[in-house]
Amino acid sequence: MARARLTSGLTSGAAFRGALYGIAAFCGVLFLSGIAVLMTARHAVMSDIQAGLAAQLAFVQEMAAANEPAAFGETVSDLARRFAAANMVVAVYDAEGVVAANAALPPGTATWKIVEDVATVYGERLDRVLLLTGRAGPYTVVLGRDLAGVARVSHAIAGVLALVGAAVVAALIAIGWVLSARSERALGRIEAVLDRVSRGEFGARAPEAADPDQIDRVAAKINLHLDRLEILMEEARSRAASIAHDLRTPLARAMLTAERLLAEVGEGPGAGAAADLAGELDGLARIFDAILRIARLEGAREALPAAPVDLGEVAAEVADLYGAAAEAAGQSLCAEGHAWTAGDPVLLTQLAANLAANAVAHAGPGASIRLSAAMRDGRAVLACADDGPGIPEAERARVLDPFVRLEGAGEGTGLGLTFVRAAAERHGAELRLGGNGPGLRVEVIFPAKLADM
Amino acid sequence: MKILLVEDDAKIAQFVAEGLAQEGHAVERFGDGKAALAHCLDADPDVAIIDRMLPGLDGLSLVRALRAAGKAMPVLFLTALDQVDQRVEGFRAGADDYLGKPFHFAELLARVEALGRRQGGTAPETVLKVHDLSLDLMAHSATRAGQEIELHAREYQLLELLMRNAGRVVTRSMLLDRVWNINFEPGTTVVETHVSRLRAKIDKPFDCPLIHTVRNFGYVMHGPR
Repeated sequence: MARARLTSGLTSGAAFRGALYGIAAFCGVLFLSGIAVLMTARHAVMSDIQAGLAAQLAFVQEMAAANEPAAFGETVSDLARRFAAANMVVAVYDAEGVVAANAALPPGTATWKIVEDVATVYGERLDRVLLLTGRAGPYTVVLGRDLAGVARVSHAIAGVLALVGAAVVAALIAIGWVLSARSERALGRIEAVLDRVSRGEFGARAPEAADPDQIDRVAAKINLHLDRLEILMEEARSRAASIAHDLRTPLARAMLTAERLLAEVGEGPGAGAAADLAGELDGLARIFDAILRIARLEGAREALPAAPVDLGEVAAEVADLYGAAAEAAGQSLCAEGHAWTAGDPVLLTQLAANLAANAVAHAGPGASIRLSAAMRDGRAVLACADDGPGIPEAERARVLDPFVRLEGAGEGTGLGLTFVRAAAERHGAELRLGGNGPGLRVEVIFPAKLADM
Repeated sequence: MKILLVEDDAKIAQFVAEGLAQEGHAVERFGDGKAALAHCLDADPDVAIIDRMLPGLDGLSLVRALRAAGKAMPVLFLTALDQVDQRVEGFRAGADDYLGKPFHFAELLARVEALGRRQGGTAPETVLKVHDLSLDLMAHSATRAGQEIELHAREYQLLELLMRNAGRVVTRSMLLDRVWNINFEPGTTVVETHVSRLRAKIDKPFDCPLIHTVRNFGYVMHGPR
């Protein structure tokens, strides 16, 4: 049966998922603010460059106004040389052509313009250049500034942002992982407790921290519910046992009355009904007895008084007891093997007797029934196998429940296998119903540590 | 027999006392443990039937007190407390037999009579006889009308118990208890089938049956009457 799990691995825990959402949100914010910072920075740098170029154009215009054309040509050539050292380009044209230039710049008409891949007269190539074109008297002046600095600033900013982002993401993942692992461990402990409770260990409780977080509060709540559940179970169980017990005295009176009635009516009228009544009361007494035995086993808190027991000997005794009954039903019953375990010999005999009685009652005429004791994987196994009609796989779990009788199963209280389960559990043994191809094979598998005794 | 009955449930006590009286026994009834103890210290019943849950003094303490006072009469606990561990407690306290409630009167009667006889304390017998059947307890052999009968170990035990109680009813649960040491209801035909095997050897080849079924709960051995 697939069972829902509380824990499902570190990376899918709630705390870890929370951390992932945090990381995604942080990355989004970081990206947007990064873009804003970049744009602002670029804008500031560009404004600076533009202001510089405009000032230089004004300077060239002043020189053009103040100097003779020959002197202007010289000054501009000097300027072009000095500009080149600062990755600046300049070109001055008059009506005839180039007056002075340190790069091949198109004379264009637009005031501001960005051109790519500009070759300087010194053999350098500039990737992106911002050009300002203006008039200075009769001259057309084109001034340009390399934009590599802007790109460097952008890269530097983006790099810093990426580094900060990576560090924060790594920190968040680590925090998420630690938190996730912590809650995972806490949930794992709760899950283990619930598992134990579902296996019938009603005393199991989740550990509660002195400094409780949400999970600890949930654990405390679960423990509170388990306390109540345990009390309810205990009450229900002891109530069932005490009802069965308290009914024994009135039942004894009823049986004695029925016996007297039987004696008084003799062979007269009402004899049949009196005999039926006595028979029904006997059946009732047997059911009460079985319920009490089971309730006592299930309610037992103290350790089982265990002694070394040879399951083979138990099987042989039971086979001896039921052999004649099996023979009378046209069946064969045999016992084989040896396996030592620790347990209550009386209880184990009763367990094996219930298995044998079940097989004799249901395997049908001609069946061969085999009680066996054997060691398997270090564990003692008591098995009862027959080649009768067996139990359909879907019904096997159900027949262990009290008062379940399968169709056509005939007489019986429906408590025999319930007792077997209770007695097996009292020994910490596992009860398995399987097919015997054809037939039924019931195995009681005792815990390994007891076999060491 | 003189039988002491200590039972606080008036109706059960009345049924049991009347039933035992009908069988010819003298019954003294007490509903209280202390009163019963005081009575026992100077009277010597042949058998005592004692409930465990009693006002005044509980049954276990009563039996311990009786044994401590040197009273050796056979005691049967008749009680609703008949789980395995409770039976063990009862026997440890000094009881000789244990019967759980609810019970059949015939079962109680058979057990009480067997207890009363057990006390008889005659010299140990070496040969048991019923009519023409004899069981040699030394040689572990059975012969009927001069003919040796082969018996398995269980059949021998069964026959010995029936013959020791010849003329008296031995119930199915007594047989289970004494022959197989089993104190639970093992299903209906377990004892019957063993007895019918025994009958096939003891009775079938001969004219006169010795093992008789008593109503639906036990067996009695006797010769022709």
